[in-house]
Amino acid sequence: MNQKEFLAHVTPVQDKLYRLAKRLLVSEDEAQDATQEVLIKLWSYRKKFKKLKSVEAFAVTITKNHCYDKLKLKSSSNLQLVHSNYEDEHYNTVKQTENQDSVNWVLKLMNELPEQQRLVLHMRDIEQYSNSEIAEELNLNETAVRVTLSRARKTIREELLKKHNYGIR
Amino acid sequence: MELDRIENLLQLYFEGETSLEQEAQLQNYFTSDKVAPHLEEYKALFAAFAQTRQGGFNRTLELPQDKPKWHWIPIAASIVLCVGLFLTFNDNSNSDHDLGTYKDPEVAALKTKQALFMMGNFVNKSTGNLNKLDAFEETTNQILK
Repeated sequence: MNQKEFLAHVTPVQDKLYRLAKRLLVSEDEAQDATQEVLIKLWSYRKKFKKLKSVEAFAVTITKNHCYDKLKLKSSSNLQLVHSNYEDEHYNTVKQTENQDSVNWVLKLMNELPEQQRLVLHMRDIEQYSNSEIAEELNLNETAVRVTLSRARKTIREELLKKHNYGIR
Repeated sequence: MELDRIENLLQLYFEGETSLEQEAQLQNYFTSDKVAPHLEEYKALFAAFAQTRQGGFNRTLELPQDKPKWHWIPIAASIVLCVGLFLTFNDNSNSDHDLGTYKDPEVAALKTKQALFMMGNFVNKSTGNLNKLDAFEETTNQILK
């Protein structure tokens, strides 16, 4: 497999990998770093691509594990993740600029979910994987995926409503 | 009624029961500008999803070049060594096979006879010398009588 073929495999997934990394690592720079490292890792595994059912699923697994490793490293060296970069770029892409604050609020809520819920919600609502794909990726059964998903969505709804009704009720 | 349907879907959505297509419908509805006022608070949720989908990996990827493959060098070297050793030892054994034997059986028989005679002569010559030992025997017999 040469570079061109490899890139043809990888380019369609790399954005997804980046967003997944960002969901787990939160920081944008770190997510970019992680994606780069994951892609280089994939490059070294390229000879196995033919044996894989899905390169994408393999890539997602590698990304997930890589990010978990990073997080572990971070917690052991006593550094805290800094949740600071919510309001950046994207301004022009969002139609409702007046809602940007609440969007940022939702993004913050999503990153405060427990890891499992965060991953499931991300894979379902952002990357639009089917429940069976998520189940396979995370070694869960489909019922567990649905329950986790429901829990994550409800948590966000609760917080969202709390904020929305703040000062009214 | 459109609104009823959306409310219903929303209910299912929070139970995790919606299909991907239904979620796409919700997504469409909530990112349009016709959201019913009492559902306004969910707009941010779907806007956040849509927004997150825009982000992407934006670095140029530099793949490490393959290292030149040297792993066949030791193999080639060992083959050359083996062949070399084989040839040298094979040469020696070839010359070992050439024992200077005779191809013609008659000549071989004659030569063998000749060689055996020669050996017989030597043996006879040396046994002749052994006769002198009898002298020792005689003297010891005289003493030990």
